[in-house]
Amino acid sequence: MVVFLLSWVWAQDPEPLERWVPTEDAIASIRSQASWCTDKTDLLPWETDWCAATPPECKGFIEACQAPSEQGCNQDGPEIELPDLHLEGLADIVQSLAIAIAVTIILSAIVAYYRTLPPEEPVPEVPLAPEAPKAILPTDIQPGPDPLQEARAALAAGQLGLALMLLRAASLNHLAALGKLVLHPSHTDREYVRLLDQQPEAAELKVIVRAIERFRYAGKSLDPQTIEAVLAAASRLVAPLLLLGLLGGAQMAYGRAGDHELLVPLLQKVGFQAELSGEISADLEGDPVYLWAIQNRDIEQTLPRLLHQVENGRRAIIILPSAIDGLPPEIKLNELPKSQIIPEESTQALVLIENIVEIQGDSTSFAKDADGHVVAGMVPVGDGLLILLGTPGLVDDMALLHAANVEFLRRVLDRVAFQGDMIYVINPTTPQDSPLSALFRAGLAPAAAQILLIFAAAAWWRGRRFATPLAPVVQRRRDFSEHLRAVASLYRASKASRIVTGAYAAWTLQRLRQRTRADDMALVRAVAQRTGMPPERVLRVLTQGRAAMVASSGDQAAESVDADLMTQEELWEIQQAMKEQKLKPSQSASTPWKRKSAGSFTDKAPPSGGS
Amino acid sequence: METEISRIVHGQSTAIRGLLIALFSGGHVLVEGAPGLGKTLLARTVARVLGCRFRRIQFTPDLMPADVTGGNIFNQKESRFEFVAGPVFTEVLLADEINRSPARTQAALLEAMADRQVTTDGISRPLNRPFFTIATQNPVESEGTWALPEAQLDRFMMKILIQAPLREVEIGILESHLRGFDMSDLDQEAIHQVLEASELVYWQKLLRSVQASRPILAYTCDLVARSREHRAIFLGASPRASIGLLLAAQVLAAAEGRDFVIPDDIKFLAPAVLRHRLILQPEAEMEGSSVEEVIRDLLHQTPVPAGAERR
Repeated sequence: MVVFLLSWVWAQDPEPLERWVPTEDAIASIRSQASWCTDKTDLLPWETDWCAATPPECKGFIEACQAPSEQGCNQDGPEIELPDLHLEGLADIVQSLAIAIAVTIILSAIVAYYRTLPPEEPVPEVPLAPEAPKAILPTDIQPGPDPLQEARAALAAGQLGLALMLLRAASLNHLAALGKLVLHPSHTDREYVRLLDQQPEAAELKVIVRAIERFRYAGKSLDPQTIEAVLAAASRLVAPLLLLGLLGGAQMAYGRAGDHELLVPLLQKVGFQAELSGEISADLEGDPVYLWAIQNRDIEQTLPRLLHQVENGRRAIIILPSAIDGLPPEIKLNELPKSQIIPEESTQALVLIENIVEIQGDSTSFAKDADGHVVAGMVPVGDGLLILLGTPGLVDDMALLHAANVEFLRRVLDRVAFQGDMIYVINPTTPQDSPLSALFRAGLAPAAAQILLIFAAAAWWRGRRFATPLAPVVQRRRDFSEHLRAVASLYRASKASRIVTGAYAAWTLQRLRQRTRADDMALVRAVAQRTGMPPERVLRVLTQGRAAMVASSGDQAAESVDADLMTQEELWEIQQAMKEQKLKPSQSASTPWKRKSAGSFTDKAPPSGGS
Repeated sequence: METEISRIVHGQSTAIRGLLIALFSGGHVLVEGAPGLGKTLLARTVARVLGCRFRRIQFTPDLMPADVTGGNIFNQKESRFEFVAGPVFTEVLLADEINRSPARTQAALLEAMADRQVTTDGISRPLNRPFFTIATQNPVESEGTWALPEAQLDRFMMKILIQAPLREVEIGILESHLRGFDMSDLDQEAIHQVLEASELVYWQKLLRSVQASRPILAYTCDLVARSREHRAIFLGASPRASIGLLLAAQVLAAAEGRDFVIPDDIKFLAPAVLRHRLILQPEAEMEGSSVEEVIRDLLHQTPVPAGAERR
């Protein structure tokens, strides 16, 4: 997983060093590939012509850079140095793999260290030592409300025999409760399996029976797979059969108190329409039945609204957090002191069928538990009907895993609802203590910690750019003059400024002609008029530029680099002035090459020339 | 073996299995059934399949004990008594119509069946190994028959009932006779010998290693002990019955591919092992109770080792 994640990280940012580099460097890198201007789709026609006129490979540039020490190439500033060649392909893969392996080794070392620590609770190594032939399996076992947990506890305590008998007893009790078996002391386990005949439970019970026989009568140990198979089979048997087809799997039966994930699927499975909703409204379609397990946090808001709906003819089932003894038939819950409906802190799985006694002839209560406490009452409220259940935790996952509780709930529902009725389950979710509590309860904390560790390592490796959103890609065509200036600086460094000066002059003249719609002297006058520059200066600059154009395409002797750059600068100033309709100071600090190499040429007089 | 025997004896799979269980557990079998159901044919076929020496004694009212065990006969040439072995000195003995001889003749088999030896004139002579007795009797006739004494019955590990075959099975029997089957001439049927006598002894010893855990022993004892306490039973089963039940359960477990005994084995074999050992109270007989019903009641009353649930 670590290798995969690190490879993924690498794939997210394969060329990080090429991002946020100076423009000149970027241009230089493009130029080094000798393919710039190839994408002519974004260029204007005259720009395309310019690109075509400019040789993609400047001979002087290449020759100059082949002897940088003699020609002074790349010595004028770091901004024009070519970036280091970016390794691609195999090198990057090797690098990523090496780091991934290193991180994996570190994580493995951490895991190995924690494995050396003694466990908090001693868990016996399975297979457990065979207890037979001295194995005396406990008899007359009556499992508690959660036999699976009891069996696991027995396994943890090394009592494999007790665990097996708990699972067997729970499974048989459950099947008997469903009416599929009649238990008798003289019946053997195989007889129970035969009694189930072709029913689906037979296979599950057979797994348990085989394990018990192997352990008890053969005196053999059980391997972990067998024990888990027995647990899984027992869980499928003990869990309400209604849930089995819906959720399946062996582990689903390990429900927890406080979780409410099984209620809605269960209701749907038994023929109702069920929906998880906090909505209590008269506008709801049909005639829904509300099912609400009171929690302390929502009593004051939800209770009056719900009672109002019941008074208007709706049906509701409220699961109180405590017993409901003594409530008069004319009970108005919203007038009761809150102390009577304060939730109890502890919830527990219920086993109701064996304990409750249905009361006949009483219109207000219909079930009492073995101690005589009323656990279910039916109260007419207004035009509606209200069922109160003094059975906190009844709709918890743990409680619903017991068939008796499911049967009890179904009986209660039959009092107020018909098959197909909509049942709104109101706010059944138990709030978590913190946003991370659900994560911890799900047992995902170690996995989350590993992922965080991996991301931290990746962030350390890739720098702060890792995991930051990439800058949105804006499709923008670079200013052509900016492009040329960068290229010019490059040519300057390579002593090939004459070529680019000519190119720049050609482009400038063409731009000026387009803007002024004039040529020759008329062009000079128009430019001088618009820019406010002296006509002589305009004439001189344009003449120098034309001379550079001729030189770049012929054998004319090259002018000095400074003169070329000065010409380029003045051409740029003319363009800027034309654009802004005013003349800027000739020593503008915004000129990048002047700023970076001040004194090299700006103090010199521009070279004279004529057109 | 079961397949080979079933090729000759049709529709008696339960009896065949019971007989083989008794054979491999070293016990003897009392086969009871109405005349003409194939008791003798079953015994003869088993002997053929085993490849053991086979002798048959047709028990008649005038049969004497010496006709069974043999006796000392005076040799005039050598002027001394010589022991002439009776038919009991064999490996598979068919005691046909055993209840047609008086009790004293039947008693001739007591020592042979229990101790696998014969004592005459103070000299004990061991029988061959294996020694397997298949006795048959007709439950219907009472004229000219002598009921087997309890001591004799107790020496039989099992009492196997031969039931009348089903209609389809009987049609198959008729068809086999139409094809020329002659039950008096088994040689023509080319019965394959499956096991040697020495191999049978080996298997008998090996099957004793099938594991019977303490709960199984306790369950067996409980079941047999309850027969001695049941209100409808005048005489319950003896510890020999417990032994026989356990040994037979070991063989049954092995036959089903297990190396350990489970309560189901005991419950399955209990009727065959107990039915000839229980004597009902006269009141129970007058009430119409049968031994089979009492055994079912015993099984119903005796909790199995894992029977923990009471609701």
